[in-house]
Amino acid sequence: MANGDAGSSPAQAPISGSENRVAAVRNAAYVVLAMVALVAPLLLSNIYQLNVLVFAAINATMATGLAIVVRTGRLSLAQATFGGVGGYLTGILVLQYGWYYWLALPFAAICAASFGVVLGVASLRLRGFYFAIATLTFGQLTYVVLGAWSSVTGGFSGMFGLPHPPSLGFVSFDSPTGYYYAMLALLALALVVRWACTSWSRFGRALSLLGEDEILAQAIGIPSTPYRLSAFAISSAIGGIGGSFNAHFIQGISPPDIAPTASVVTVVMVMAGGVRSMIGPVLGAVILTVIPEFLRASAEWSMVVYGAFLIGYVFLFQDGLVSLVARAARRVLAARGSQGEATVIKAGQLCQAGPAPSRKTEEADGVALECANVACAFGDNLVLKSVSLKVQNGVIHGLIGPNGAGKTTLFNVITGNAPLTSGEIKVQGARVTPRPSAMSRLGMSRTFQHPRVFLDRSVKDNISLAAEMSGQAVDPVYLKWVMSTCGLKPVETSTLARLSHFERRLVTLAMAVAPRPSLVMLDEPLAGLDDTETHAVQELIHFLHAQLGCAILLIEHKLSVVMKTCQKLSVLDDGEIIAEGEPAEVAKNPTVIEAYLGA
Amino acid sequence: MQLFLQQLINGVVLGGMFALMSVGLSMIFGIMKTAQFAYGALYMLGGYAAYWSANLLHVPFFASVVIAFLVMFFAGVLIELIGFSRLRGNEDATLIFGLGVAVFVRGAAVIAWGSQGRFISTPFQGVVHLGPFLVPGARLWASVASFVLVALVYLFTTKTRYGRTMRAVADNAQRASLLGVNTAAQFAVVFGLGTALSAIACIFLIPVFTLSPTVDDRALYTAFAVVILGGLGSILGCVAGAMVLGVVTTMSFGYTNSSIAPAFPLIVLLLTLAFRPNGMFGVTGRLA
Repeated sequence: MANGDAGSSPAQAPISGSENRVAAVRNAAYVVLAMVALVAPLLLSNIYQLNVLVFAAINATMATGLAIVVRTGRLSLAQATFGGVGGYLTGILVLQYGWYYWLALPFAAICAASFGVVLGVASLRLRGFYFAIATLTFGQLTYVVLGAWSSVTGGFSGMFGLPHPPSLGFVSFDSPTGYYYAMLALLALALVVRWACTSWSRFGRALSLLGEDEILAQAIGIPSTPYRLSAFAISSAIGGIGGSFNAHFIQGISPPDIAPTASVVTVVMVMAGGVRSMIGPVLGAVILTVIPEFLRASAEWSMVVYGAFLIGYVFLFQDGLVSLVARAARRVLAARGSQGEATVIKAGQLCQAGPAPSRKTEEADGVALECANVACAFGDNLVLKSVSLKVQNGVIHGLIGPNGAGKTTLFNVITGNAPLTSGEIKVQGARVTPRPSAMSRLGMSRTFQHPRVFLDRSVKDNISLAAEMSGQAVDPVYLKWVMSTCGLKPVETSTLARLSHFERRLVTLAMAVAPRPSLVMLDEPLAGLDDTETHAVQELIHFLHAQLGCAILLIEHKLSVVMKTCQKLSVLDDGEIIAEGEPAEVAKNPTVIEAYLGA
Repeated sequence: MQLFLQQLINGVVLGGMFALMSVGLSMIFGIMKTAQFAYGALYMLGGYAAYWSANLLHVPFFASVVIAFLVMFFAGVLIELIGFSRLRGNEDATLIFGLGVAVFVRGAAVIAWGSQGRFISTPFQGVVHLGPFLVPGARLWASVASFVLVALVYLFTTKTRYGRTMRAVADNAQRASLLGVNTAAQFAVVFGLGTALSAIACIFLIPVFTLSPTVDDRALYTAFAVVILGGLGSILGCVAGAMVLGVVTTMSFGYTNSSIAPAFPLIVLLLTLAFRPNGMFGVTGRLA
């Protein structure tokens, strides 16, 4: 369960012998850790140490919840704030309104989740450091408001005398040991939720992909906004629950407990352990809870050690402690170097897979894509003036034009990555509002000029995820055919980061046809390839087209290829279509010769 | 009306103080795009550099300012060279490294110097009468210093060859390096200057906020708020952002109860982030 993203694909890759050993050692390590967690209270004697143990378990839960958002590529500095929302809410409901704790707790989760969604909506456009600052400001604002609202919250001195939660069956919350086991169960639950939000479910895999490459993730059909907001809601709900248990454990809550500095500590727990690993945030939380407690004699010294730890993290174990340990273990266990022999794809291996397993019934007639007077402006910079273009079903349609003509911008407008300032876009005759994640549902797929792939995943994962995220039923036979046709069979288990430019190009093509689109948009698929490779990819495009019968809109600079491959050609210059027709006609057109082909 | 104008003047003066706090970060974060979370801690160290040189070496006030400027310049260069320069391009690591330095420095400062507030004797005492309005001298002088520094930084970045080089590096470090600019040295110098400017800010603000290891948080949050409000890369935007923040802060303290008042500047910052992420006055990609 705790293998992070290593095997997150729907289909498991065959595992080599050394990988098997690594996995065995890893699982053994998890078992040992779980045992240690279970017997820890029996080994500790005094109540103070037991309390630290409870804090560690609560912090681990909060960090695990936060990791869900961090994994989607957003560093949120408000987890302690959500914890505060939960803690204050149950505290107020129990103390002032006499609610039963277990009735109040779900409201804490819901309330924290709603705050999470509100903050998420407000900061949707932000990323990186700006997102972090927005969440930090939100935390500070909550801190001020809770401090100021003294009639309800007790102001800056906070609320005291919160009762322990009442017993649930045989679980009693009155002793630290009982509390600890309850928190351990909560942590296990949080880990299951996190697993579901990373690799177990389609939703989780989509969230992880959003964190890896948002643009590509959208292009293969992942709607980033609702997914991100859901992730934020789930993560803050876990924060709210953890914060409530924390407040009722220490039997009090005050604004300084939930100040932004506390949220910063939670983020550091996640990063220090490693956000990509399931167990990372848990270990990070345990270490960073225990270190300051050991140094409890002096808050200043614990700050110094803590600071030194952060600096060490940045220079020594940036992927997290877990990955540091994993790498070391791998080095010891797999010393023989089974990854020595690199497999290289040769151009001749393409198109060898025979006919497609089940051909799509093609709509021979009709217009796959129509752009009518499409304009696109960035501020007052008008990039596309008025572009009208019709791509017939089943046709390879070339789009050529000098650099800066607006070809890629046109692609981006069609897919919703650039603004459609005016004009309209129709897919199979129906008018659509372009949105990046909606295009794959309409039977369209695209590639990017610079090959975009999920670098940390295997070839097989990339292709099957592209099929899965488009919302279609995944047909393994078809995907196998795609992989063989694109010549990728020999490298199917390699991660993309290890592959060459040519191989990545092939993967992008495979990903584009994986969801069986009726229109494929290829943005310079031949850029950066040598003559042999160019020839091979050209053949591949032909072959895929012949087998799948899909329409292809192709941007390309290599004219000899365009002339041979395309059945129709449009020439774009300075934001306008200056010529259109059969390739041979267009090549003779004097305007085109002047604008593009040269004398 | 009298009260409102007095509040407005207080707001502008406070804005001047905020601009002073932020001008260093405006160079480091605004121009060089490095989210420097140790800014507040180094600001605090700058104050101590001046304090100790005034108290141990018994130099006059302005000499202690110069000493602090030089010390913190080299501290900034050092931190850039051993830390930030190696993390460029990795936002998360940059953030956490800055945080680590900040926590480390704050803890060490408490251990070394205790957490009591300290004062430094400055030539700026008393209250200044501006017509019917009163302004505490220390605050007024801090804002005057702020305007002088901002003007100098503005002239430096726009009118000198060196400043233009700096902006070229900020705009596209790789391209600038192809044109023969030593970008690593540029970054180091900007870091040094930014840090040294923050030291000056801290010294001028000691009479207002006193000096203790915990002055770093206020400086850090204020400076980031100001730079974000004003928009990245705009020194003049930094002044405008500081003014907005100063006036909003004064007005909310003047007209609402003082426990909720700190919420208003935060709300302004959140709204700006939500609706104008490039800052109230920021134009995408604009420099200086």
